[in-house]
Amino acid sequence: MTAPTDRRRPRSVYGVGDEPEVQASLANERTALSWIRTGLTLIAGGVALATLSGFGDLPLVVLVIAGLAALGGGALGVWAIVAWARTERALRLREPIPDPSVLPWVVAGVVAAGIFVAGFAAFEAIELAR
Amino acid sequence: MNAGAAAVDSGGGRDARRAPVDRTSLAWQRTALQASLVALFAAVTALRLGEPTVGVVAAVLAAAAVVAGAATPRVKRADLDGRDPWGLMLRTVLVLSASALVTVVLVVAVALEL
Repeated sequence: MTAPTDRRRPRSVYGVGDEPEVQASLANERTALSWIRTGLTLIAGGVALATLSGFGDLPLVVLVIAGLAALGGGALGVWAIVAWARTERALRLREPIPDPSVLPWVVAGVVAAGIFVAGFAAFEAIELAR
Repeated sequence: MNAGAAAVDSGGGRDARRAPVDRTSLAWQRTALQASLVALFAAVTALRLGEPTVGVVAAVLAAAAVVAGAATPRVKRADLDGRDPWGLMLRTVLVLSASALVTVVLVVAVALEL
């Protein structure tokens, strides 16, 4: 079980089970960091769209997408830390690790945004050609 | 604990067994750098859009991200006491959440100007 001198937090994670394999624990940490970087990329996309809207004459829906991207990025960061704790706890208890439940949502959001931007670009190109 | 983990924990075997520790430290550096760049990008955007207050907040965030990256421990991560990323993660997610908030404020500011 956990050593009595173990002062690491949160206790809901480090207070249960046995010390997992170092490499598995570090891999869990790197996965959480990857999710955080994905959230940061979404926020950067939001900033970029806001910049374009500020300088160009773009429809309001682009700004709505920018706001949603920024909020989604923030939410992804919070989810990353929750998922890290759940996985670390599962590793310590020698249980199956939880599934990445947010992954389908992120993929769906990115695909939807990609389709919208492609459609918008095609529409603008047709308008310019006329 | 297996043989590889035991070798890392005892500080020995400074070879391929140390790679996961170094890789994790590099992941922290990469994350902090990206957080700083995003905040800096938001700061420049805010200033160019004529929102100096948001720009200053974003610039402070960028500096905070740099400090968070610089303060991330790069050694002793293989020791039991050093393998405690909770505080670091909270700090990084706080910077990220604040960046998201700054971006939303920017979006609202642009929407009000349109």
